[in-house]
Parts: sequence; C-alpha cells; structure tokens
Amino acid sequence: MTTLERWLGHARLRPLPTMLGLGALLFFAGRLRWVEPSIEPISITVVVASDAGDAEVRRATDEAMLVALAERAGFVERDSAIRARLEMNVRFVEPTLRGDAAIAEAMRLRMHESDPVVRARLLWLARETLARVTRRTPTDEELEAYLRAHPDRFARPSAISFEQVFVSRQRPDFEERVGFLSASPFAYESDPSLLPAAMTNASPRRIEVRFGRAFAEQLLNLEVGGAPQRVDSTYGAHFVRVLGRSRGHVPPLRDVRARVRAEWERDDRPRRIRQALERMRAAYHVEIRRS
Amino acid sequence: MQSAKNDVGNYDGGRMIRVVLVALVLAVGCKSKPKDPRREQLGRCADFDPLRQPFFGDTHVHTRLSLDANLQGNRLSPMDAYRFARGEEIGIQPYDADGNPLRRLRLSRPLDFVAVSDHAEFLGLVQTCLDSSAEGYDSRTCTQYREDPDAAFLTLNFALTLAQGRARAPRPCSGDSCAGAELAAWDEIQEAAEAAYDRSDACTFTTFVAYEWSGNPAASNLHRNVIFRNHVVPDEPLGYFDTQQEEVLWSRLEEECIDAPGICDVLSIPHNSNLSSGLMFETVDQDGQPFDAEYARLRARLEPLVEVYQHKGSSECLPGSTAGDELCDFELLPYRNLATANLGGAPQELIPADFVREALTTGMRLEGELGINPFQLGMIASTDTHLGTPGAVEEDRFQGHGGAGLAVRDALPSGLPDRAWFNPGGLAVLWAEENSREALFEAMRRREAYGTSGTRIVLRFFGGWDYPANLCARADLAQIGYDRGVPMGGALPPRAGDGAPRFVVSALRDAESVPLAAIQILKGWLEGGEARWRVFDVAGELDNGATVDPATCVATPAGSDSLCVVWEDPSFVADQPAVYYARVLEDPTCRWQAYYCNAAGVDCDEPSTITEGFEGCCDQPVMQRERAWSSPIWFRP
Repeated sequence: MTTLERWLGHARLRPLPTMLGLGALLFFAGRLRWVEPSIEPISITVVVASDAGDAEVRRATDEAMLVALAERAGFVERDSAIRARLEMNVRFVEPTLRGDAAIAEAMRLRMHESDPVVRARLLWLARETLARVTRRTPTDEELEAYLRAHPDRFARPSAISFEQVFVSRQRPDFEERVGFLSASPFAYESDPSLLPAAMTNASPRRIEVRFGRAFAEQLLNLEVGGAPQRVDSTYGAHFVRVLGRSRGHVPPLRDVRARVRAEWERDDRPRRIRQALERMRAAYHVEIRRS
Repeated sequence: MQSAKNDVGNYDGGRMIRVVLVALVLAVGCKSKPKDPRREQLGRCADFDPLRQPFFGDTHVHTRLSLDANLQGNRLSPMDAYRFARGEEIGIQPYDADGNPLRRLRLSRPLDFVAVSDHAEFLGLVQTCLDSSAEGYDSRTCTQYREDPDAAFLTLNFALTLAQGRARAPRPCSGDSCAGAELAAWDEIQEAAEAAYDRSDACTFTTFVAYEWSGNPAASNLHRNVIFRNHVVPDEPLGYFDTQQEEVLWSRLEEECIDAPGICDVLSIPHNSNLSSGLMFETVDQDGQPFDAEYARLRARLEPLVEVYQHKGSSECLPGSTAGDELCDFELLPYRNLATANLGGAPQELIPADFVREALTTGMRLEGELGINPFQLGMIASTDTHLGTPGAVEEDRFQGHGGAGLAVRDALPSGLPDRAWFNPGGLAVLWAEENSREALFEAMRRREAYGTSGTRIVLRFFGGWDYPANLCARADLAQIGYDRGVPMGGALPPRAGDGAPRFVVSALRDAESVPLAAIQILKGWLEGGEARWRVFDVAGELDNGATVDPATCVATPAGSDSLCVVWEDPSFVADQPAVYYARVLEDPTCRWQAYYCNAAGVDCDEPSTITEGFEGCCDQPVMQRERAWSSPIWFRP
C-alpha cells in the first residue's frame, strides 16, 4: 500500500478532520507565501541604551523584527483591537480622524511602535504567526529522541509490593504492643483500620496516598525479602515486609506516543520561534543605534 | 453519530453485520481488522484490588477553552491542566506583557483522575475571537471580547440566562467557520485526554473526555458535567443552545451515545443546586407537567451522582430546613442564583428545595408514585476551577476561582485572590478496583463514591441486615461489607428477618491533615408522605477540645486517626422508605482567607488594619471543619 493509498484510506475514515487538515494546509501555504517578504533584505534600526549589553541588544533586535513582521503582515490595519487603540490615540492629536485615515496617521506617527499595548499585541501576533507557519509533524526519530531526553516526564514509576502489620497509636498500650510484636510481628493481626494489609505493585505515590508521606519515604529504603522492619506513619507503627520491587523505567514510544507528541509540540514551539528569528536576523540588515 | 479519535475500528455498523464479517474473515483464514487497543477490560492494572481502593480526583475543571475562564485570563490548555494534576508545576494568570505567568502553582499531592469539563457553549468562540485569520475575528462580538472582556463576560453569559427554548448563541460568525472552531476545540479536549491517560499497567493517571452543559435560565443554575466512559464520544458536545432542556440533553445522550451501536457510554453530574433558585430539583418537567415514569427513568439512568460541594459553596443542606443540624452552616453562599453569586449584591433568602438533602426525600416520595426514584443521587465534590488547576484545594494556597468572582487577569491581586464567600473546592473519591476509565466510570455509575471538602479522608460505608457487632475490629470488614450488604450508593437488600438495618461506617484521617472529630449518620424518611430528617452522632465527639489559634492558624488537634462504628437504626420502621448517608468531620482548621488576612496583619477588631482588598476578611468565619459526605444507602420497604 502506498503512502497515498494509506492517506486516502485514513481520509475516508475521518472526513471531517481531513477536510479541516486540508483547509489548514491551504491556509498555512498562503501564510507561508505571505511571510516570504519578511526574509527579503530589510533594514531596521534598533535603538538601545548606551550601556546595553549583548542580551539587551538581542532582545531589542528580536522585538523590532517581530514588530516589522507584524506591520508588513498588515496586522496594524487588520487587527481590530489594534485599530481601536490606535484610533483612540490619534484622536488626541486629530479628533476628526476616523477609520483608515486615522490608522494611516497613527502609522505615519509610528504610534504602533511607541504604544506599549499595541506593541505587545503586535509582538504576540507575530510570535503566534511564526509558531503556526513553522509547525510540522515530528518524525518518529525526533519523538524517540525527545523521549530519551526527558525520561522523568514519561517514566513509569517504580512499584513496590509489601505487607504490613499495623499497631495503632490510638492504643493505650501502643509502645508495649509494638515491643511485643517486634520479635515476630506477622504472627499477629493488625489493629483494625482502613489501611490495606498489603499492596501489590503499588507506586510510591499510591503508597503515599494510603499511608502518608513519611511512611512512603521510609518504605523506599527497605530491602526486598529482608526481615520485617518498623516503619512509622501518622497512624502509628507498621511492621513491613517488602515482597518485591520493580524499578521505574521509560516505556517504549509506542506506549506513550500521544503524550510525547503533545509535550514535544509544547517544547518545540519556542524553539521554532527562536529559529525563525535567527533566520530573520540573517535576512535583515540591522543597525544598532546607542542612545 | 459518535466519533473515536484516530479510530481504526468501525463502531457504526450493526452488531449482526460485524459478527458475520468476522465469521467470514475467520472462515477464509485472513487476518481480521486489528482490535482497537483502547477498548478496556477490568484487570489491566498491576495493583488491581477486587475489594477496591479509594481514588481521588476532580471531575469539574475549566481551561482556556471555556469562555468565562478565558475572559478572566486563563491561557492554560486541557493538556496543561492534566500536567498540573499529575504533579507538574505550572504558571497561572495573570501574565506580563511578554506572556510570562506571574504566579506558579504545584499540587503537593497529585490526583489519580481528572475530567476537564470545559463549557460546551462558546467552545469555538474563544478560538475564533483570538485568531485574526478567523472569519468572525472582526465581528462585533469578538471585538468586544478582546477589547472589553468584562463587558463580554456579562453579555455573552447573558445568552445562557435566557429562558429555555429562547436562548440563541451569539455567533461571531456564521456557517462552517465557527463550527470548525468548535470541532477543533472538541478535538483538542479529546486529544489531551487521550495523551494524558496512562494506558500502561502502572495506571498512574486517568482522564475522561467531558464537557459542561451550562443551562442557566433566569440565572438559575442547571449546569451538568457530561462525562464519557471512554474515547468513543459523540461528534459534537451538546450545549445549552443545542438542547435547552435537561431532559432533552439526557434523551440525546441516551440516543446518540448509550443506545447507539458501539461502546459509547455517558453520565451527567448536576452541580450547584444551591444556585438554582428551586429549579434543579423541581418536580415538574420543562413543560410544567409532573414527572412521569419515563422522565424518572431517564433521569435516574443519566444522573447517578450530584456534585454536593465546590468553589461556589455547599449544596448539602440548609440549617433549620430539615433536622436541627447546625453543621449545615458550612460554606453556604448567601445567594441562590449564579448571577448574584458571581457579581455580589445583597444576600438572598435561600431555598430548602435547592439542597441535596431535600432532593433525597423528594426522590423517595416520587418513587412511591412513579416506581422509579429520579433523585437517587450519590455524592461527590470537585473544584470547578477556572484556572485550569484541578485538585488545587489547599486552603493555605488558594489562588481564587478564575471564573466567577474576582478576575485576576491583568495584575496580581492586591488583597484576597477572590471574593470571600467562595472556597477552594473539594475532591471526588471513587472506590474502584483499579485506576482505569472502566473501573472509575463503573464506580460513578453504581455511586460507590463520596465527596470531600478538599482533604483526603478515606471513608467506607456499608449497609445490611446482619453485620456482626464487632465488624470494626475485623480485618475482613470490606469483604463482609460487600458479602452481607451493599456499599455506599446502593439499596439495602430485601429484609430477611424482623430487625433494623445495620450500617458500618469507617473513616481514616488524611495523613497530611488534622485528625477526625466525629462521624454522623443522617437519616431521611417519609412519614405519612412528609419528609423527616434526623442526625445521629455515631462516633467520636465534635467538642473534643481541639482548637485553632486564629492569629497563626496553628491547630491543636484532639481527634482520632480513625473512627469506626457498627450502627443499628434505633428509629427504624419497616414500612417507611428511608435514606442514610454518613458525614465525617475533621477537627477545626483555618478557612482560606484567614491565611491571607493574618499575613496582611488584618485584625477585625481594628478597622484601620482592614486595607483595600481585604474587606472580605471579616465576613467569613476564621475556622471551619473539613469533611466528607458519603453517597447514601436507600431502604425500600
């Protein structure tokens, strides 16, 4: 079966998502063409403080490029929130101006660069656009690499199987009872409670839910198959025998693909924006002016 | 129509056709279509326990996809909410100009399960209004949405308060554009639930695909959380603009999901009856006709649970309306409808019919007339967070509601993070064999569930006729509980002898909270058709000497790590229908606002210390008793 056939078979099963996908494809294709002018050599001037360091210069440069991108994309004219803000600003200077005329005057006065609200929105729109047009489907290799790079996020927790004999601290003879049981605790019954007598393949978090944090932390240090050990909890004393323990492990990609992909996308987004900005830096002619 | 994300199976064909096809395939020795690996059976989890375990979760969570949450500044996705529930730290609103969150939050104890339940209404509007390439982006609705979110909050939510049958969605655009945005949001909800669900045998975390139906006629809250059993769900969520009567919602869910071919299954959970102005548990349908048996059947089938407690108060009971029960005076909102609860105003007179306790006895009366109890409701609690932070219930770290009340959208709060009458919300607890969708959904359906006001009290409640008096001292309490009776949520088996029913209720404190003070059993019954309630103090003691220093919130507890009792009803009358539930109370602790007020140096006896933003400090009690409510057990003569 060819890739095309597989795709068509998939599309037959899921017509709506496919149509949406096609629409998105066409839309992004249009956007890609539309973004093209931004990588043509463009000159921008970035004004920074005289003592600005490299990081500040870089940040100011990125912002200037993003504002220029948003401006060239027509957001100043098209975004109604920006239009409303600019119209309001222009009316302080020219009360009679309305609509496109007001926007044109605002742009002539470079208000879209100086107004902090408009500037913040232009930056947001530009970043959103960069993230959208550079979005792509990760390969299996990329997902595998991501999984290996972030084992903590996807690791299956360790699991412990144990049994316990419980002595409630509510007993008036608590210490005596603990002392009495300590020689061979499993010859006796637990004090009654809703605490489980045993847990099988339980994660540390699950143990914490049932017995509390102090108990769960102490349990991690006990050896498998060793003699019963006393472990204290909020509820009293427990004589614990660890029956088995499995180490935590990172599952294969096939078991966690959906989650890996979602997390990959979340992390990839700022990287894509960063890369796009680097490409733009190469395409822009930037003049740094220190004031 | 149902859909299953990325589904390779075909659930739309008839059962017979599938059987024939499978038989043909087998006959010719070909490979059959691979079975959907997401179909589940009980027993896949490594820590499976046939006597069941308590799992803690939140079935009421809003993210940026919900209009009200979004307008209040929420930028978190459903996936972010699931990450938070699993224990990851996340940033929450407000955000600075560069998009950096100004507050960070992490659960001290992760949850076992979560259902993100964004409002079905306006699901696509949020995306449309924030996407400058969308068709409706420049519409008047969207312009207001972006430029004046406070006004948009009111005008858009106003559409949900129109009378049933008259509500129309304010569309920012028409036709396919908005529909596409809605579907994209519904897809995102499903994809996040699938991505975050642990399908391995470790079973560390369970998610449910869900949404909220937000009917709100005349600002009277009729909201329901609609929760699906698995990944097979209808193509679209049903909002108030699609189905303006709750019975139509149930009918369509039954027709398009439960009774449709395939494995779709669903239930709905009403919440905030305290804000329904008498509508949530009224006994006539939307046409004003008394319930009939079909109505009762449908409601009982779809609604096994009620959310008795959340951010917007308790819906358990009203002091003085039933038994002399002063403990009903707990997190009662001074309002009876959603609009005033959100916006504030003069306190309103509360209505007994808005509370679950009243509904339980009304349900028994209706059962006598119709043969089916439409209000056979188990109890859970949840948060209703609009910050995208499921399970964030710690009193000393409360960051506000994020949907109703104060909007922490543009700047950090200068005083309390929310109106003082709200609270951090509670948790839902399900007794299930394992942490999987199959096991948890079944627990909800059979009502083996309870709610807490936020702490992790463990509570078991069984009812039967011949439990041994020493059952609390036996290690096989749960086994005997199941073998000789029913767990919470069930109906007592037929009476065998001439004795009264016996109940065993056992509670274990939250290891990270204060000890337990007492257990009460609440009994409701019908006497000559009239509802009666009585409170039985069955274990522990409320006035046990436990204290809290109001200036420091340091508690000096005096209660117990565990309480257990076998209790026989001394007032049992064999021909009276009755309902019983347990309430477990902790020693007192500080209420959330006390932590903020103490830190700000507020002294309610010294007005000059009550600075701007802290006016609510002195409107609410400093101390409270965290608690748990079991689902009831019913007796039918």
